[in-house]
Parts: sequence; C-alpha cells; structure tokens
Amino acid sequence: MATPDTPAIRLADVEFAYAGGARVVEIAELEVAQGERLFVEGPSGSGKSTLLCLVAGILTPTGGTVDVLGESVSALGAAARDRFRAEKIGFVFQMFNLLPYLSLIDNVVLPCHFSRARAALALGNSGSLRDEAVRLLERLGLGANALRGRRVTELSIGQQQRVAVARALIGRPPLVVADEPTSAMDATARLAFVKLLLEECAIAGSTVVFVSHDPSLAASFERSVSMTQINAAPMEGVVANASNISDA
Amino acid sequence: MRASTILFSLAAKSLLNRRLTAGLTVLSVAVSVALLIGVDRVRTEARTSFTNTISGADLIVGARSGPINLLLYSVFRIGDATNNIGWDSYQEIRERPEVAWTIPISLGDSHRGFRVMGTDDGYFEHYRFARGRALAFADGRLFVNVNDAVLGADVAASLGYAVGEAIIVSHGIGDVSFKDHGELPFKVTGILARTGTPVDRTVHVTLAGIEAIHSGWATTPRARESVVAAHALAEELKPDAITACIVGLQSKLMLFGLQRFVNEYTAEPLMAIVPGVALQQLWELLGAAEAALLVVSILVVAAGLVGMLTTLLTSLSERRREMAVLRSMGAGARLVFGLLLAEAVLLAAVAALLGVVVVHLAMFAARPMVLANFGFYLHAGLPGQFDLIVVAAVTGAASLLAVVPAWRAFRLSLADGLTVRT
Ligand SMILES: Nc1ncnc2c1ncn2[C@@H]1O[C@H](COP(=O)(O)OP(=O)(O)OP(=O)(O)O)[C@@H](O)[C@H]1O
Ligand SMILES: [Mg+2]
Repeated sequence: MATPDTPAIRLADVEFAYAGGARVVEIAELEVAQGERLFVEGPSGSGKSTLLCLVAGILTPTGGTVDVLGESVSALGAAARDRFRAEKIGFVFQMFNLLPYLSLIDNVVLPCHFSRARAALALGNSGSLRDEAVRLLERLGLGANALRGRRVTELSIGQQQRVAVARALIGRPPLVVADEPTSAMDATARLAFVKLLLEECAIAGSTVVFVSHDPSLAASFERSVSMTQINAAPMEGVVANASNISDA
Repeated sequence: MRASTILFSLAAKSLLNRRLTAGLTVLSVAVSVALLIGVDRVRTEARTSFTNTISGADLIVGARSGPINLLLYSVFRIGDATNNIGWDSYQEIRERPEVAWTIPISLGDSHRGFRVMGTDDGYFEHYRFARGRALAFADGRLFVNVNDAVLGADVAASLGYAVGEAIIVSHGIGDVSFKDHGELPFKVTGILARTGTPVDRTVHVTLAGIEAIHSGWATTPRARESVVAAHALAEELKPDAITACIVGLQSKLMLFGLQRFVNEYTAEPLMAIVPGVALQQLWELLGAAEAALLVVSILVVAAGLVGMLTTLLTSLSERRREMAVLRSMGAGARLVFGLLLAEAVLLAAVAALLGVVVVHLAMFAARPMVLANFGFYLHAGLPGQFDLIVVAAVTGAASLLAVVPAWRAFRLSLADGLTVRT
C-alpha cells in the first residue's frame, strides 16, 4: 500500500480540541517523507504531545485527515487504530517507559506480543524474540549480563531510555516517535542519546519524529519544525521561554 | 501470543510486583473463604456424623429431661445425665413383649479423659452405626470378667494401650478426676475397630465392674481373685440404677406403644425418645444459628472482596503511566480493561483455592479436638461440590466487582492517551 513515495506522515487541515476544551491543534499541512528524521520543537503546552497522539491514532482529529504510511488513520475505528499503532509505530516517552514488573528483556519484547508483523520481523533477524532483544540491547550498550539481570527500576534514567529505544525498534516499525525522551538527561547525555537513537533508526530504516522543547537538539536532524509556526491554534497559557521550565 | 495469554501473564507479573498488597488481599479473601467453607463443612459433617453414630435403635430410654439432652449424653457422650433409671424399671422395660433387645448404659466414670461406660454383651451384639454396621474387634475379645475392659480405637491409639494393659478408672469425668478407683484395676481384653463415632473414645466395662468399684465390693477379699466372671456376679453386683438404655423392638409398629408406656411410667419419671426425631429437633434448634453463621461468613467474604476492590482502585492512580505505556504499544483500552479484570480474577481464584486448602488442612488438624469436645468426626475429605461452587462464586463476584476499577482504568486510559501521568 505504501510505496517509497508515499509520505510517512501527512496531515491535512487537522483540527483538534479535547472534549469540552478549546482547539489546541490546528495544522493546515505537515508532511514527513519516509526515512526522514523530523525534529518538532515548541514550548510547553504548544500541542506537541497532542500532535503525536493524532499521528499514533490515540486521538482522532475533530477535523481534517491524518495519513500515516498511506493509511488514513483518522478514518479507522478504535480497534483498527490500536492494531495499526502496534504494527507500525515505536514509541519512546520522556521517562518511565518501562513496566516495572517485567524484566529488561520482557520489556523490550513486549511490542511483539501486540503485533504479529513485528514479531515476525524480529524472529527473522534473530533466532528468538529474546535473542533479538539481547542483540538490540547490546547495540545500545546494555550488553552486560549483570545489567540485564537487574530490575528495570534499578537502571539509571539514561539506561532506561536506551531500553525504551530497544523496545521501540524491535521488529523494525516503519515509524519511531519520541516524545521528549531526553528531557531527564544532562546536556552531554542528551546529545549522545539522540545520536544513538538516530543511528539505530537509520539501520532499521525507520522514519523518526522527535519532539522536544530543547531547540539545541535540532542540529542532529534533517529537518526541524516549530509548533509555534505550524500550529495555528491559539495558545493560551503557553510559556514562550520554554528553557525555564523544568519538566513536570 | 494470544491476547488472553498476554493479558494473564501481564496481570500475574504485575500482581507479583505488588506482592505485599496483593498477598494481603489474597490472604483476607482466603481467610473469608475458609471461614465460609468451614462453617458449611462443620455443619454437614456434624449432621452426617451424628446421624451415623446411631443406627438400628428404635428408642432411647432415660430419666425424664429434654429429648435432645438425653440423646446427647446417652449416645454422644456430651453433657451429663441429670438422673438415672432404676434397675427395676430397666428390667421391666426389658421384659416388655415389644422389646427385642436392650443395651444398658451406665456412665459417670472416666479414664484419663475418656469416658467409661458400663454395659453388657448386648452392646456388642446390637449396637449399630453408619447405616447398620456392627462393632468389630481389632484385637482381643469381649469383656467376660468383672475387671475386663474393651477400649475404643482412639483410646487405645492415643494412650498407646494394647491388650493386657492394666488401667485404673477414676470417678467423675475429665482429666483431673476426684477419686481413683485404684482398688480394682481393669485389664484390657479387647480393642474395637475404628468406627468414627464416640464409641472410639469410650472405655467399655461390664455393669458389674462399674458396680464393683462403687459399692465397695472391690475392697472385699473376693475381689482380690480379680478374675471373676461378671455373669457369676450378676446378682451380687446388681446395680441400683443405670444411666440410660437403648431399645430395639420386635416391630417398628410397636414404637409408639412402648414409647407411651415409658413416658407414662409411674414408678419414676422416665422418657423414651426416637433417636431420629430427637436429632431432627436438634437440627431445628441449631438451624437458626447455622443460618446466622452462614450469613455472617458470606458477609465476611463480601468484605474481603470489597477490600480487594479497594486495593485495585487505589493501585490505579499509580498505574496510569503503565497504562499509557501499554497503549503506546498498541494495547487497546479494552486490554487495559481486561488487565484489571484479569488481576481481580487471578487474585480471587488464588485466594479462593488457598481458602479451600487452608480449611481442609485446618479441619484435618482440628479433627481430634472436635471429636473429643463435640462428639463428631470431621471427615477431612477431598474438596467437594460446595467448595467448587464457592471458588466459582467468589471468582465470579470478584470479576463482577472488578468491572468498577476496570471501567475506571478504561476511562482513564482513553482520557490520558499517551500523556504519561503520575
Ligand atoms: N488529556 C487532556 N485533556 C484536556 N486537555 C489537554 C489534555 N492533554 C493536553 N491538554 C491541553 O492541550 C494543550 C496541548 O498540550 P500538549 O500536552 O499537547 O502540549 P505539549 O506541547 O506536549 O507540552 P509539554 O511540552 O509540556 O509536554 C495544553 O493546553 C494542554 O493543557
Ligand atoms: Mg508533551
């Protein structure tokens, strides 16, 4: 369905308001090519996370269309959107990405339980899901056996985020979405993490949408857009100088 | 992996991760289930056991008191007789044309906490339990001599007695007796096979033997010969009275006739009861208390389940993050709903099964104590139908109740989307 020319993401006249609230997203057009790495910056409250939810089919736009990899996500039913998300998208959050009651390996393998396609791809790469998880963790510098035996809550934030990247990448989803994954790290760790993430996504051939309110990271990406420019919705209560805001 | 497999595996791991709260929840539900099953088991076991204790007896005759009281002290060795039957009255009843056989019962003494019962050969010939089973000897033989004793299975087992052992009978009942009848030691001549009734906890001696230790005969030179056949002493050691007697009739049709004869007996106030009828009265008496106990234990189970509901609901706020992570991986809000439901089902099922195991172990452990104090056998049998029903009902009720937290989690995860909130 998706040829190489199909955009990975295409938003057209998208509008969104939370139930009973004012419009928070109003994007006339946004297109991301397959394999492209896009940096989305914008102050807190500018609608970055909401945009990602629209792309991932967690939220449906109140107007307009959201197409992801040639599929009109905004037109799908709830169950189909969940399935689509499981198959096509790898997610990395700001922090606490991991389920505390699963082992490191089980955390990484988890998306394969929700998507046959990703499980099949992971198995194609290594003999078992476990092996593939170990391989990814090794690539991300978490190869040590001692580390893998630990509870995920005993890992440092940086290590947890790398596990989250391994999980997002298992079974090579065509689209990787990261919502401020570096905001809990210090400046040097941030750059190293972004570099690692982009390298791994390049190997997997995944399109990347990376959201942050830290414009200094933009340089690592092919393209950068600012929510203040693309989002026409009135932004009430948005603090312009985002660098003063510590992450909540 | 199938959706339900991942669901239960996630639920189980998540519960294990919160093993302290989950464990306490399981414990409280398990205890409540054990209580409910225990109450029901004790109730039904008591009934079967009581019903099985006496069979084939048409009437029980004793001094006039309450029918339940007479039944309890004569057959179940619970409580004491308020009065006796004169020996002459007993003989008169015995010689009635309706009467096929009688078993005299003379109580009031004990041996190291076990009751001593004076009786005669009729007991071994006519006493029936568990729908018609007769008493059998595991070892030895019937009493013949005035100082012979036949032990119930539990007496022999718990005191470690074998045939040939000499035992001293004490006056009164209980471990600490008032007076030992040391002048006439009894000799164990037989040990009965286990019956699962109070017979197992009884020391049987001849009526003459009982009389011997009470009348002072035991201190006479003749007693020193010790081995004197009880029959030979029947006249010499004729008791003044016995405690009660069990009567078998020639025909059931004569039951009410003889019962009326006894109840209207003028020489002394006597009473004849039909064992089945008296048991029925006992159940009616206990029925209200049983029902109340059952209701209370059902309420305790309900309280346990509400406790579980509370635990699940409070866990939700700290798990919104987990829900968002699952949603980001393509888990539908329905899976989040199912996860909570699965947790409740797991908790309840584990708790209910644990409760079943606990109650059966507890009943097994309490068996000797129950038999000693309440005169019935708790069969620590395999879990039965009631246990299955309780496990199913508790699990079902838990999954119904869990709809509340599951629905809440469903709503929250839809509202939160991928916003990872704490
Ligand atoms: N679940 C929600 N219900 C109602 N309003 C919401 C919800 N989530 C976000 N909003 C509102 O939508 C607007 C955009 O929020 P969003 O989280 O998309 O911003 P953001 O750019 O990701 O901010 P941040 O950098 O702080 O994460 C804000 O005004 C916010 O208050
Ligand atoms: Mg955000």
